[in-house]
Amino acid sequence: MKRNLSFDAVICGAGHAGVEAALMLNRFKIKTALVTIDPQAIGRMSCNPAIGGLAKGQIVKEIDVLGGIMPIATDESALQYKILNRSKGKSVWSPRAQVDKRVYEAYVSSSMVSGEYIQIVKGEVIDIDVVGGKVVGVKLRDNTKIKCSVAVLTCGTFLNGLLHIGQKKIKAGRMGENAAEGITESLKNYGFKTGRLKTGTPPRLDSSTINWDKMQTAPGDKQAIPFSYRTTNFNPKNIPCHTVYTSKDCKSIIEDNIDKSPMFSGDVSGVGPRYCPSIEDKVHRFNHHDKHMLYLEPEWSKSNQIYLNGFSTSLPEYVQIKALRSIDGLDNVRLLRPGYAVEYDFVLPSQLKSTLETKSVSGLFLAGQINGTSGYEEAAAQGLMAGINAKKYIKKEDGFILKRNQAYIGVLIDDLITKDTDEPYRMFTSRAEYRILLRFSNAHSRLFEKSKNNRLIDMGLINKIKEILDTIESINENLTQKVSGEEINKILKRVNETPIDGKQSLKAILKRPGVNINILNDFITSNTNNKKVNKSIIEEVLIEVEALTKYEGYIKRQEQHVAKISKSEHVKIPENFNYKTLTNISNEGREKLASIKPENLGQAMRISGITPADISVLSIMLSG
Amino acid sequence: MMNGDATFVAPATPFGNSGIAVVRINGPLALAILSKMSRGIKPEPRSATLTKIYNQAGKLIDECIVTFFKSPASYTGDDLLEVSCHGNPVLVNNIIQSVCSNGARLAEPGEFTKRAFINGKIDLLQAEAVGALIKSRSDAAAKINSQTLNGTLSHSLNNLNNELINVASKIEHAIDIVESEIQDSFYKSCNSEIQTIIHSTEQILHTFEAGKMLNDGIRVVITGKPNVGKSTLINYFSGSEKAIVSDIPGTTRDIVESTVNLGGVPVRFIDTAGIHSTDDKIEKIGIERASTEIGFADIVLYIFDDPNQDIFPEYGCPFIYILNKSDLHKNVSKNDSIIHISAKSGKNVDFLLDEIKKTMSINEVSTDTPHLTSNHQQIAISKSLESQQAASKLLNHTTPEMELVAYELRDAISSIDTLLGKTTPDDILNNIFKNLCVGK
Repeated sequence: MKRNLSFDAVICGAGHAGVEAALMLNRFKIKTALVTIDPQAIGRMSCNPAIGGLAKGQIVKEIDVLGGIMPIATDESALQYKILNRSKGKSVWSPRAQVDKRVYEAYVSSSMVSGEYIQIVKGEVIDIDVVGGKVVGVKLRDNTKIKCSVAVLTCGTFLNGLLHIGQKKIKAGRMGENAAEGITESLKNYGFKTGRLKTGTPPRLDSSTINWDKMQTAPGDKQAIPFSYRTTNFNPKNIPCHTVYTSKDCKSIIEDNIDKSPMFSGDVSGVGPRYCPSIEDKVHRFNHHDKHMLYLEPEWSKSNQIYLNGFSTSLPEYVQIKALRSIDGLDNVRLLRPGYAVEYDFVLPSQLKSTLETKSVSGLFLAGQINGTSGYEEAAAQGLMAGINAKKYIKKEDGFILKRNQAYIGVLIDDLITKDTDEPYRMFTSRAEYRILLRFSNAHSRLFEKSKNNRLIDMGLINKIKEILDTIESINENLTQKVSGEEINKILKRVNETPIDGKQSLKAILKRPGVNINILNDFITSNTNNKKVNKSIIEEVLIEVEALTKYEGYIKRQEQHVAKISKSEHVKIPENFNYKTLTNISNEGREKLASIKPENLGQAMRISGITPADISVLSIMLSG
Repeated sequence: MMNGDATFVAPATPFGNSGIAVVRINGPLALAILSKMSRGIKPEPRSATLTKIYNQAGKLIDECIVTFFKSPASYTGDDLLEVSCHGNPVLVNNIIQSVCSNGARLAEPGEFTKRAFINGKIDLLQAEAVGALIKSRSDAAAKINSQTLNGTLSHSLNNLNNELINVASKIEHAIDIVESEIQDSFYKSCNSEIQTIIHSTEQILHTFEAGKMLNDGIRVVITGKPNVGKSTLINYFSGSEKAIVSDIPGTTRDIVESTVNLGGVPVRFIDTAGIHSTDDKIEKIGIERASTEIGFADIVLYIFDDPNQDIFPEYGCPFIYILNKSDLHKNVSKNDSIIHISAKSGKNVDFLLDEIKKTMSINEVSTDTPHLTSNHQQIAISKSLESQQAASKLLNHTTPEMELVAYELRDAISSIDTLLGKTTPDDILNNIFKNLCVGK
């Protein structure tokens, strides 16, 4: 069947990146085709049934303020919430939610279907048409041609995807779903450099074959905080997860069979993530540990399918079963699906601008795993940014770029385009040099103005965020009031703090390391108009106020540093700059700069292998 | 703007008459220029070649030894030629002019070292040490600077940095990888590691005073009433009649200096005009200068010659009282706080020098360990220490804010980095290269 269709934008792939891009284009009334191999799998969570987590939780909060769908879909489907890192400092506190995959997927899918300007097209993009360096259309496997001025590729792990289970190899993007073939070749024809990466997923267990009495219970937080400010009637469930430790027997079974893992036999050429090792990798690399903790996570409410977090593997299925049955409580376990590794193509992301548009083909945007990242949140963030910038491209507006001091999303994209990743890139808080400024609790104040000015969010959300910001301000105001020893000493005594003489401001008291904002509750919320803001949000507001007070000095220091560095971000490097004229720098430096072509001096500084001496020479050439 | 394709030339030895002088030619044209000036000589790398050198008019300038260092195996990493000629400034100038008329240009200050740095031959500390080595005024200072040039200071700072990076990584791991919450024992073990680093940093910092003393030397200002023998003492040190000695009080009107090498430390003795009231205008200026000198002194020697004097001035720095002309006063009762010498005969002057060494702790200066020698090294290490201490303090909180601890540790690391040249902003770089002498 040969069709000829015409849209403004085509999005290739309907995973977490694709849906964010589609919704953003829909918001700006841009006619968009969402091309997917399987329309039943829109917004599918192919791996763990959770959203957020370390550094990722911050990203999800940012996506919320920028108008993305992931946060509200999470709140609609959450089974439990938990803030991680509570013992490690407020700016690295990271919210995480366990979610019902089916509800999540259904919510996202229905939003796509109801998108007035989105048309879901079943098919597989195999080629991109480029004329005069610009995208003019895409071609599908069934010969359908779609005219468009913008193409957003969000192909996930489907590009020449190859699954490994022991020695078994299956061509697929996910278990039971066909791989995408052809796009890599098409991209290579346009001169793009590609590489190959690997990731893995653990086995899914049959809930009824697990002896639950032997498992440890892991409930969520009692006082949950929603991810989205759009969420109303927040009434979270708190369904526990469970944990169990692997055994010594399990370890020796894996050791005995390690040569059957394609990672160790050399069958897998792609590079896997060091931070998310397979169980065979853990046994091999951390051989001094006899046991590892595993998390049993329900994939949906009353699920018979249990996701075994921590047991990612590509060992043969019978070895997986044997190893698991050596664990106390899993003696009779049955697998609904074995764990497997997946290898896929990615495009070296240094070929992208900070708008996620490719440097060599105008109108071509890449987002998600195709850029070498890993994780739903990283994918969604890029999809959102690609969607916004695709709109800007069509409307001939300036690109929408977040800075490293404004958002984890800014760090993510800047890292991708200045450092070609050699393993699936995942966000860590330590990647953000300004992480003290990038708290989950201040995503609103960091991004609100930008989001509002670019019309990414509607009035309802704008007003809600304004209320929250006002509440923070009024509590801050309350903190400046002075209290007497008579009023406060009883409370201080209760928490073993030295009493005060005379009067002191609440702020000074809150700055003490041992004082927590909750003990001052009566003073600071009494005359606040916080009744407008619901209880679950107040919790987050208090966390933010406490951080602002206790971290005041550090926040100032980071802001000063930002001001100092931002000068070099403003030194633009012309696109046609001739790096051959830089004769006074190392060869490595010259080659790196010439291949990456940084947009400004700040980006140039962050390219790995570029020395300060290289930068001085470059800056002299730019100024002269 | 320097250009990597440029060939530049400069004398590598100071101007003046000497046995030999060395001219260095660096850059891609070095060999071609030599070939022209020597009528076709092609020297083997790293071996001495005797050749005649001619100017453009074809006139012989000198017979020289040339040594060729082929890129990258040279000091700068570029092609480098060393031409040793006879040590006459006129010859040296002729050679340089001739090299320039063949397509080279004069080197900018510090350009040889800058090329070495850019080509990755040396790090920043080493680049700085090159300048200090050239200026070294004593064997011990030369030793310390050559150690830095060999990288021992870089080495010990690298060790320090690696230890900091180790703790920082542990903390980042806890923040970014470990999902479970932290136990008290973790905070404690991090803190004890940081304490160890603080201790090492303090030790490196302590080397600064000693290192600075070796490089800058110490200033000993000799003062006292007119005609007590200040100039005689200076003359004794310098072994010459540098200061005019006479019986007329107020003969010394300007500052006269003499440098003595004391335990490896260059000690500058500075003679001042005797301090008394005078109407002589020139002498007055001398006295004013003397007070300024005293203000900059590391130690003051107050000389007097009247054994019955009982009122002595005090100074804002260490000082020693000296009773001169001891040969003239017999049977003077000894006082521990006063040293009796005879500047004329040199009697007891050794004892005085020992006293100076003791007062300035010169014997404790060890040249076997790397020393911090410049102010900006000292500032960078002190800043690092401050950040380390802040990190340790944060770890004493009941629930330490680990990202703040990590922040302080990163600051501690980047302070040291400014010396090792990893993350240094270019203004420090330029400053260092500017302060190096031409030709190196």
